[in-house]
Amino acid sequence: MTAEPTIRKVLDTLRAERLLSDAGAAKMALLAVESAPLATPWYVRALLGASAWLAALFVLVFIGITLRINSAQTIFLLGVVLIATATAGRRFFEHIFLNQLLLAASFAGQAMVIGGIAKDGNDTGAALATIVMEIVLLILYRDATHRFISTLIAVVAAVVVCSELHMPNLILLLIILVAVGAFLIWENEIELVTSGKGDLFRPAGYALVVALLILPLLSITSGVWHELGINFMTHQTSWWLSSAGLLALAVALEFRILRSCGVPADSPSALTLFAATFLLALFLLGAPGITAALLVLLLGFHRGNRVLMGLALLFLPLFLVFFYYNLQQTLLLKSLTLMTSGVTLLIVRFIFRRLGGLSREVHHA
Amino acid sequence: MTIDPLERKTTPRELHRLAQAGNWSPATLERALAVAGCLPDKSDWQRFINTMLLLMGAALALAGIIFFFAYNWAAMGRFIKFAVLEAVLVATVVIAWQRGLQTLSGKVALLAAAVLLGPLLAVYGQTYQTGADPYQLFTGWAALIAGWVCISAFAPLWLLLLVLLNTALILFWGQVLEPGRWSDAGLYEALFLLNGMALAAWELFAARGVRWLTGRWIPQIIACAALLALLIPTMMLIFESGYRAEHAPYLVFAPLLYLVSVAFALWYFRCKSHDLFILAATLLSAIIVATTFIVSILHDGFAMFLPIALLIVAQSVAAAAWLRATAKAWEIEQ
Repeated sequence: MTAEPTIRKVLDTLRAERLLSDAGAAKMALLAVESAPLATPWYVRALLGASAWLAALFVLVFIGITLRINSAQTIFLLGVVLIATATAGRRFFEHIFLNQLLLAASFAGQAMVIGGIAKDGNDTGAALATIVMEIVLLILYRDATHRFISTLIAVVAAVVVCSELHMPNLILLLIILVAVGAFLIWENEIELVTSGKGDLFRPAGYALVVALLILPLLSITSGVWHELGINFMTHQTSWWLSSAGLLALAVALEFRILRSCGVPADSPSALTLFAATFLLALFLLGAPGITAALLVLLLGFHRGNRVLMGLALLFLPLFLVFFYYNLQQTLLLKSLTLMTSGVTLLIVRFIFRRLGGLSREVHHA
Repeated sequence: MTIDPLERKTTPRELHRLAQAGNWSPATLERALAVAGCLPDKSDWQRFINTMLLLMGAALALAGIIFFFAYNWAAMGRFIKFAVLEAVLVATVVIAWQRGLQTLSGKVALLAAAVLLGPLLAVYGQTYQTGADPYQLFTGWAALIAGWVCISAFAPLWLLLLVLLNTALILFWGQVLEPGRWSDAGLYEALFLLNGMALAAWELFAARGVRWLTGRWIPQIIACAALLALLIPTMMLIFESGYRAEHAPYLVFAPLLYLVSVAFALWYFRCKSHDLFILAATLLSAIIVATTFIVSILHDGFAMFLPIALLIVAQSVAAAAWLRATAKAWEIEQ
């Protein structure tokens, strides 16, 4: 990416290309001159989010002890009241202290709703209700942190449903759905922003990417879950299905990238990249986490989003560490998988450079 | 001379804000992002594909090689183990020498060599059963790479050295010193002094304009480590019931050091070296200590839970508001 030019240059270019009228450009200049809302760094958001969670825990304990509630219905109803109050309050008030208090109340309410349903042993029902609740809150609760966590909770609840139904291959479908969701959100980010839905979908997009990177860890951490008494039945799961789904998405993304660069899909460079993607996914069938990380890296660069790229680069070594300790495959098989994949990429790079890369390709309309 | 407020770099977030306020079409926003350099063009993709194929290919291949040696390690003879490690070590040093320490690849090669020295020493200790304590391995490792670290002008190598020194200190404290005389609190305070001095040295030389010290992620890591080293004994003292000096010597110094460090950090990283992350970490530690202190006072009865919840929220909100005001003040100063 080239060095960032100034706001003036951007507005002047848009005006010169008739994408903005003179009046529109002047209005934008005025807006830009006014103090822009200071963006809150991620670690400050994390500080506020973590404190809200901790406060919610204390609120929950206080309510539980004070009211001595034993009835599942009462817990459930009290939770609904808390969520409704918090959601309504957030829509009408904009104050940093109140926002955090309402966030804590919402999390406490959600825990009570889930606990109220699960109290009678209905874990599947609780998980399904959680998914519905989080989708509704994603739309209604206007807070980026809340939307991010709501999406993650919904994905976790979906995993619980898959586990409770004893249908492990549903988790593979979930991975593909999460990947498709992340792909659609980030590839349509511009349309979402201009239609005013950016604030709704961006936090969900980040959460789906995090979920996409974490879910494949289930394929290599089955031993840990069994020791904890949580049965994901991962030894019966055909993880290659998720790799195949991620491969399809990666190819679709590459089509879009090549088209944006004006490179025909049937050019030698393009075919080289497609072949490399296919081969890589084939070698990494048993390691869907690596394919997921590479997909997120590609998506992040395509959207100019360093956070997505950072997540992918952070997750990749983490997955490799877990992959090392995975007992479902021998070290020899794992080493061959990685060496073959690595050498394939290096050979593809050699061929790609010999073909002149993207620079020789010209799209003839 | 007045500065044109529009002659400043734009960001994707700002363009999104303008797009929403101005009801831009998707094509307009996309063009604006492209002009601002926020989206990659064909040459960016060319470089990215070349770089990523190289880095990912090398990383996966190397990981595969490491896995392969792990598979065969037990069956390998000792001389083969030494030969493999020393061959890779020599190769990385040669690469560093050939590429030169002015290049990134040369520095990374030297870092790899420094990392590989550790397993070589470990294999040496295993093979010849020298009877050395583990702390001696880390101390020796740190001593052997010190020269490379000094000539590298590469911040991650200094971080590696600091990690080795911290590890050596922890092992030394646990294995060699008398626990009754030199308590855990003394260890934490020693760790704080070690990391605090490293941070002070970093800030001193960075302020003098040493070019390779301009990145902030390493001092941020060191600051977090130093804070954590004092946070733990401070919380220990808060929870220590019937504290007796003879059972926990040096523990009483921890909260004093902690308070002085927090006050100094809040002043220094706000007024001298602008670092919002370190300020946030410092405030987070202060919130933890304050909440822990209040919980220890109100330890009876369930009625404390609600006030504590409100206290947590109030403290975090106050901290966030102060951090935002600080960032705003820095922006105005610039």
